[in-house]
Amino acid sequence: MRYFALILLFFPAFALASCSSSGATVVYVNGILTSNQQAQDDMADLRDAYYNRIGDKTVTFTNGYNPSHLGGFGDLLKSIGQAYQNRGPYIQDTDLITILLQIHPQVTTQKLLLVGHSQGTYYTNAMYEYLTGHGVSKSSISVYNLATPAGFVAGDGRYLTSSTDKVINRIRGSLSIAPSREAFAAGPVLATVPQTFPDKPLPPNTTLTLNAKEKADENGGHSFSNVYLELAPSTIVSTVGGALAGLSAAADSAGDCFAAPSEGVSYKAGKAGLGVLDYATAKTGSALAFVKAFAVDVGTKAPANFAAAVGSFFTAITPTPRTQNLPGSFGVVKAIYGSSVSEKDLQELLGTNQGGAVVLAKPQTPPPAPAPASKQTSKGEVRGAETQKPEPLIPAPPAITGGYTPGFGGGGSASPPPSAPPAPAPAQPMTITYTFTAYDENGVSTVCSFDDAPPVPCEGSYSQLLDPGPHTFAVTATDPAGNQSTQTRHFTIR
Amino acid sequence: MKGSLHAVWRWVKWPLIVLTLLALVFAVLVVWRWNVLEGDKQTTVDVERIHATKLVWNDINGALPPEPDSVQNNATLVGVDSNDNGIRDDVERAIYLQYKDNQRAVVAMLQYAKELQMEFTEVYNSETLVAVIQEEGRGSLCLSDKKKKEEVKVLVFNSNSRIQFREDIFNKYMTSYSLLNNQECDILL
Repeated sequence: MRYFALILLFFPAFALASCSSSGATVVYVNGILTSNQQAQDDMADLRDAYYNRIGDKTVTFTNGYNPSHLGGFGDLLKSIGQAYQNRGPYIQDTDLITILLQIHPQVTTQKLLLVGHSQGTYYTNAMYEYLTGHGVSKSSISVYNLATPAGFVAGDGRYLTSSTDKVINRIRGSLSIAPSREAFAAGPVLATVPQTFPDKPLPPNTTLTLNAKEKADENGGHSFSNVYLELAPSTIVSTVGGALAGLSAAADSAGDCFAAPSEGVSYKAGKAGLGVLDYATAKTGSALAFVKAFAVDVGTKAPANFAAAVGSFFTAITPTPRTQNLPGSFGVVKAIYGSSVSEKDLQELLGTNQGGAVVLAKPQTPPPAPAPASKQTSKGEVRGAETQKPEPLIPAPPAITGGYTPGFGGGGSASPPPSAPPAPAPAQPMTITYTFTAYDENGVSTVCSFDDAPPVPCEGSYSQLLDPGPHTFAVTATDPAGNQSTQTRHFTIR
Repeated sequence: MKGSLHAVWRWVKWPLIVLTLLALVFAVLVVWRWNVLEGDKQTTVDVERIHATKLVWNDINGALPPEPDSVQNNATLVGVDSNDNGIRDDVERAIYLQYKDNQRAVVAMLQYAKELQMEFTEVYNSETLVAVIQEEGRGSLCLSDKKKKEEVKVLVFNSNSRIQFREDIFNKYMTSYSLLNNQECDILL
């Protein structure tokens, strides 16, 4: 009996599981750079608003706590990967597994609504993929994302993003010029592989009028409790209620509501590693304050900016320039040092032939004319690491690398209008693509046109097949107050 | 004879040492596990006590406590609670004096203050933090007024040491949790 008692000491206690068809669970996942206390308040405020307006207390609110690592720096590195992940199958992630393990005993209803805020929306999307693959029926789960930097909502769920959300607006601007995933490591083969870019955040679908404090805040308009729930409580609560009402459940089940992920060796190793790093960060405290400050600075501007910086770093250390216009790094420089830094300043600082991103907005000098091409011409894509396809050896357009920043808060382009360099190749129609970034703290809409065509709405880039000859591209940005800013580029296709 | 004993000892010496070490390790593990289980038991008791802590009429139906000496009140995290109702005297006075014409608000704010005060006295691991957060969730719903909630928080966490302590326990023990959906107000008006 004594032996039996000793053995029992080593076994954990367990309880019988059940998964109810009645009631529902709302799992709220906070974002990074949100304090623990703020995350607590956010969920309590959401729950209070729901109970007070809907009155259905059969709904349980659970916090899927998304922890911060390395004072926020680790989360930024991760969020870069998440931005590039786009749609896809569930990918193992230590924090995601931790959240799933922690909520596993607390989820006792079949009906589940995942509510994410900010970076937490990457997790709600990933959780949806995991849960629907591990016991949760697609008819009993939904996702509702707020202030989301992601380009989609899993399960075709709803979302709410304000055009006045400065953080998301900044991320949108940065992601539009972020380098491709392949630009990080592809090296010389970059030109031959398809380019994968991060999804841009979903477009804003509401405009919340910010108070003076939020307007003055560099990251204003993004808070869950103080902006979204404060200014759009009816919308949020009714969407939550509607999403829950749309869920269906089968009969009560005696088992778990979903299969918990495995606490395998890799998970335990990852958790232990994060624990050690977090401990070291906490202990070094002020010594690593600069890391925290850097994390907050870059992170609140856009995780993708950091990705772009890494991309530029790879470009800088690559002996042979493998690309003629890897955009993004200027955006990083400007984001970090402020809009007073112009691209011209940067070029003067670094020299005019730095390769890669530095030539972002410079007129592109066409290569010596090769044999005439029969049809396709090069594409003036700015938003890629490589704008010229290697196969069709045709003259590049004289000026199609116009990554510039019109708009009201982002500073303007510093590159001069390009002149028309000689291009002896026979004239061919060309598809010209301009990529641009327009930014305003309160949101912005843009229209584009080539030559005298009527302007049409555009976002981030605009393309058109043009005949040889002189052309003009124009993009006009308009802020919610009606202020307008127009940038034009003149170029010639020969 | 002596030689044969010596030979036997030579053979069994290392196995005995290994077995002894294994027994020691086992004993340490048992003691450690025993402590863990005892700790779990203590946690269970403390969590039950946290959930059982409610605001009752007797807590707030007597005389208003006197204004505490600020030096003495801020010398410890817990501060001065002369009527022993789980609410710091300065907080209790401030709430009452500000909202004495709104009894419902006073009662709900005092409940929330009492729950927040438990962060100083009850939290030592994730389970106890979650229990306190769950109780605060009841108070939050009972109050259902964001502005007043903030006012109570400012009163309770009124010094750098108290703010820092709160941040520390949240950083140390925060985990996923569910809010309770039972009776939100301790005193129904």
